[in-house]
Amino acid sequence: MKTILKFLIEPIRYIGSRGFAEMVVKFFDRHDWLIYVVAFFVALIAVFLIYIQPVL
Amino acid sequence: MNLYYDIIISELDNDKEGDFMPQWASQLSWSTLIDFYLIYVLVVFILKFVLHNKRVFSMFLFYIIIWILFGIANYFDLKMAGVAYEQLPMLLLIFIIVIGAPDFRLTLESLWKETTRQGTIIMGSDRTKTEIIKAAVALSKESIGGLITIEKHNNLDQYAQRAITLNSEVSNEILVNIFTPNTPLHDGAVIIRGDKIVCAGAYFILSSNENFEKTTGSRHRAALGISEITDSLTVVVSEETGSISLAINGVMTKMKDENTLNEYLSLFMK
Repeated sequence: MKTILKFLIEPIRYIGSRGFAEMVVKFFDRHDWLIYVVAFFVALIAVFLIYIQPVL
Repeated sequence: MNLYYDIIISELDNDKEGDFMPQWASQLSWSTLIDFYLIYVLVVFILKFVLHNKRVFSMFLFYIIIWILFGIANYFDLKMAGVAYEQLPMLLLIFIIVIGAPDFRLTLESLWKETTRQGTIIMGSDRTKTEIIKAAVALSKESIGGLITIEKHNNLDQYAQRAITLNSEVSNEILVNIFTPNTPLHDGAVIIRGDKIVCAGAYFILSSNENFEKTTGSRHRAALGISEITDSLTVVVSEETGSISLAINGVMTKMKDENTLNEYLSLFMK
């Protein structure tokens, strides 16, 4: 029972215990130009969802 | 074969009507471009803020996960989870703002460190360096507390504006006089830019570094605080022990003697 209950929360525990946040922050610290690339694509997706997708 | 001709004919019909552009393209205009640009700038700011500090990013990630769970609950029209997660994002936002305030402040200050970085710097001459050393030694002998901050790339105008403007040449006598107890300017820091004393009586944000001894005085904490958020160097003279220390990049180093201080300052003011 204990194992099953623990297993249910495992995906969230996995993300929390792997230092995922630290990995991402370090990565973007080393390659800070990627922030601009990500922002560009996020803005592009926003334009797609707001302007293009409703008429498709 | 017939199907192929049908397609060709329908294409030609479209050409006749002059309808070359797909329907979605008619939705795009100059305002879309401006809209895109404004969203791009906003996303850059958010990403820069969020990806600057591990703890801020953790909070952001947690918030996003809650939104995803709320989305899932909404999509499948889950009765219990839907109600629970509906209220959670708003409450969580308030909670995050309250508990994350120190980290947000630190992140904003660090971002400021990057934005106020000047391309050209004015470093003091050898005479200025000698005068600072003489003043530090004199203050140390008399056990008078002193706080002398030397600006480098990051502009310290934000602090100078709230202090007493001096704009005088750096001299041992002026520095000692400023820090003499029971005078109006002795309680804050002196900011030096190039060969000039920009101001006296400047106040910095104290460091909240927990690794530092609890007994550390506010003068040392102020020196450490300004060194954490800017690339300046601060000479601190302890009022209690008369020891001279340097704070740079969030690290406090006690000076053994005058020569060590000279070496450190020479390296910094190169």
